[in-house]
Amino acid sequence: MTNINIEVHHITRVEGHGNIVVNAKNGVLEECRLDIVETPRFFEAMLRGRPYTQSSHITSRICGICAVGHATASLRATENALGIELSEQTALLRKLIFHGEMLDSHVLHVYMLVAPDMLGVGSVIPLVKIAPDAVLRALRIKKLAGDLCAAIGGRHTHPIAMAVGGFTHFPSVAELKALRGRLVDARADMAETIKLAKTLPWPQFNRETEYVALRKEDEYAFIDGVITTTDGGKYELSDYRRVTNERMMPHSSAKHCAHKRESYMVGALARFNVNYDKLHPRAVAAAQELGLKPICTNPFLNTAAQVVEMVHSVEDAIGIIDELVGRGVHSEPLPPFPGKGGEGVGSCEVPRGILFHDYQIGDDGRVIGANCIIPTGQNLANVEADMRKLVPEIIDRPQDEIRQMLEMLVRAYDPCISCSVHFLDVKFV
Amino acid sequence: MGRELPSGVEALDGGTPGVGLLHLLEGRSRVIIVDAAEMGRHPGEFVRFRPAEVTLTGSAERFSLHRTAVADALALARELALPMPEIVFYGVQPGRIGWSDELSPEVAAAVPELVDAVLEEARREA
Repeated sequence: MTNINIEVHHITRVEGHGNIVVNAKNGVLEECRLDIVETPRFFEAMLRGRPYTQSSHITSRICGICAVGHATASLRATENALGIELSEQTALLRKLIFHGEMLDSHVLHVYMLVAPDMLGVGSVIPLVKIAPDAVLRALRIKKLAGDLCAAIGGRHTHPIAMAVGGFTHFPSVAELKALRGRLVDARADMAETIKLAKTLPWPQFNRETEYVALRKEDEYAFIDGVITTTDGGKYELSDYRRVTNERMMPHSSAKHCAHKRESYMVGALARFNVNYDKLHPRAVAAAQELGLKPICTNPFLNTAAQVVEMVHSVEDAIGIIDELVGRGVHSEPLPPFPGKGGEGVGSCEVPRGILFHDYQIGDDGRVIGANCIIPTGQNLANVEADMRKLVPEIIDRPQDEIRQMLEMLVRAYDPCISCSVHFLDVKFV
Repeated sequence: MGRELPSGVEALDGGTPGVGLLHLLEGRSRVIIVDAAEMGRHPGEFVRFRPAEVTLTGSAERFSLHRTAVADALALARELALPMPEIVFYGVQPGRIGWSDELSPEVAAAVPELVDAVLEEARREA
């Protein structure tokens, strides 16, 4: 009978690590778990006592990939707590920069992490040898995404111009028109990306689960909306705890989330499954080309759903720029502190899934309490449930192959491992 | 006195840009990267070095995009033969790495001298 003992152990140099532990004895699965420790709670402590205007800048530092996403959720929580309404222009600019980040994050995940796995090379460096054009294309898309973020947010990473109630910097119409031209040109790169995704050997594995995403009736929801699940759940943002139901697990230092089943999934595939009918027609065409239909229950195809979303973001960004150029971009003052605090929940769909920030702000404008629930934490229980179904299906394969499949499964979720601290590890030669 | 950036020099907060570092480097003639560096020195000590003088440890972690470090980005640039500026590092030995928004006292004390050194480097003729 089969015995397997897999431990993928990454003690990294800084906070945050991911471990896969799988053991089977005589063909029976004994242990199957994923530990990813993400600690934004330290950020929650950092917010306490600070002026409300600083929250988005501090929490944007949680992540170098979802910096706009954290800033957006933070601003929406603050604005909801203080009863601040947004102008149409602010809402449009927020959506536009969000598309930049979505594109930026998805292109990296598809090209730098998933494609090397599926093409049988260890990482992006050897990928340069077999597919240099693909890597250059990825960098080109990433540059466009970064420039889009910089034009709206003031710089590439950690937006500085996004503020409570509006922006402190506004793109010129000429900048927007130039970006529009590059987005139109990027359609060719999107077509090539779809072509690449079509050739990748996606693992065949399905498991039904509940998919959770924000939903809006008038658009494919990335910011605000109603928390909606494929099991029929619908909740206002302020009721997010009824969905997340965070609970401590004895084996893991990260909390697990569950709604109607033992686990649920968030991220591109969840959004695709919940909001397929709201995708841009070109994104729908991309999905059809990739053979992706809702409700898709193969978690490996989360990456394919990211490709579909890349197309959607390019097209929707073009539409938003047209609207902004049509109405003209005007400098708008930021709203003053209303003089009274409150509690508010902000939510958006960051590349890895639904993100919640929940703030209490005092009448002096200082943060009293904060709670951030990140997508990767919500996915942990679902990844483990996938592993428990997947391992018995492939248990007769060589141990290295099983390990590789498990790593690919985890990577398909595009997990967020805290990236707030970075430094160089230097050896003098 | 002398605390202004020389003309033609831009100061950027790079944040955690990952592969995006390549786009920040693009089109520049000279780049000074100031970052925390594990060099086995005393906290607050800083060292000037060039990429060729050191081995920068890349990240073995491949679960997530969040581990793309400076070394990985530079390795990718080399592999793609992208034109890169002249790069100089100012590595600062951290006092502690952890969750805070403040520098350790040793590093905080070293900042004025570090700023002087970086400004002098920036004023140097290429």
